Amino acid sequence: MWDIFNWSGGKKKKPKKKTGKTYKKQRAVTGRSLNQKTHVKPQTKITKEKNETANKNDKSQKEVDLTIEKLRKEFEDKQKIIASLEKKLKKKQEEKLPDELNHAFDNPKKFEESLESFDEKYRKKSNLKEEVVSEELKETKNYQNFEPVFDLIDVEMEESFLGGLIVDKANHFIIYTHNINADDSSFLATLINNIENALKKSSFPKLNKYYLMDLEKDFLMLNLLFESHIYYLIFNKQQTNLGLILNVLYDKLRQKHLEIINQ
Amino acid sequence: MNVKKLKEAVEILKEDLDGALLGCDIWPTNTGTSIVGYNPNPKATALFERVTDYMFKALEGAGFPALDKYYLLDLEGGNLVVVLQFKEGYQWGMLVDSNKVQLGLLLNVAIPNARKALLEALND
Repeated sequence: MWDIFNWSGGKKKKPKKKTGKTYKKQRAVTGRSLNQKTHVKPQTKITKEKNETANKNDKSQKEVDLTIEKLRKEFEDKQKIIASLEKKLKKKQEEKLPDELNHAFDNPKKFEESLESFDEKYRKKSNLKEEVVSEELKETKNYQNFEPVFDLIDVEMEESFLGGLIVDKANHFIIYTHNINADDSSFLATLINNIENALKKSSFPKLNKYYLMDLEKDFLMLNLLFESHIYYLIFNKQQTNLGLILNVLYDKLRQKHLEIINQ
Repeated sequence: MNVKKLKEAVEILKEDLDGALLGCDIWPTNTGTSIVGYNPNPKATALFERVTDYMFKALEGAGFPALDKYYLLDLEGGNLVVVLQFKEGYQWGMLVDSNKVQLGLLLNVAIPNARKALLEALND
């Protein structure tokens, strides 16, 4: 059998000359002669590129629009969830009160307990209000920074000094705290009035520089009186040297306090 | 309680303070009335009972530890008020001339001795 692939003997076939017929056919299709070079204007290339980029931009814009819509939907869904949760929470809060009261009316002891709990809640709220008021007062009066006074105590007394607070004698507000977090200081702030009243009625002399309270768990509270301010200072009873505070430190602290007040 | 020993406790305090004790009263807590004293001051007894009560409330409210063995007030003219606290339900208030006695002697010698004497009288 003849091998059709090796029939030409490896010689390449010569290309056929273009006849008049083919020329005519070509011209009829393209509208150009065969020798004429197919010249494409550069403007048409640019417009193609432009079209391609425009198509791409359209696609990307569509994608962006889709993602925005998705995000919007998700956001709206989440808002709905939040709204429903808030409604549920409100309902629960409204339901709690009558339940507690119903139980309370069944059992008088529970009624008393619930009253106490409400009283506590009310107190907490009123304390919060007081704190807000004191914060406002701080802002309006622009209280000074008393840290240098406490720094002085820290340096002189070292580890024996644990913390302190300052009370304004005029309005009984705590105006400064240092390493201390007094829960409800209303009694502490008005204690000075109670002491002064007792001294006056007992026909004793007035308070002078300080008063001292020996506390449980090895604490000592020294209350220094500087004009219209009272310093409540907490010390470790075992480590503190009272003589150093009263005979040496007192005057230094008072001087520093007055410097801050008069600034 | 041994009243004779209570009176002896007051005498011990007088001796330790060496003429600096101006007056004192021992009273059961929540009564405000003195049972033994030297130059007694019934008004002061009643009023300092209230001060003590107020101190306990103030410290509790602030979340601080409770009052332990005593509190001390520095008064004008060199006087000191000291009120000793006893968990057995008694208080011992005293007015001291601080010009005649050092604070260290008062806190470290006179007060511990007085406490010891009163506790002995209460437990007798």
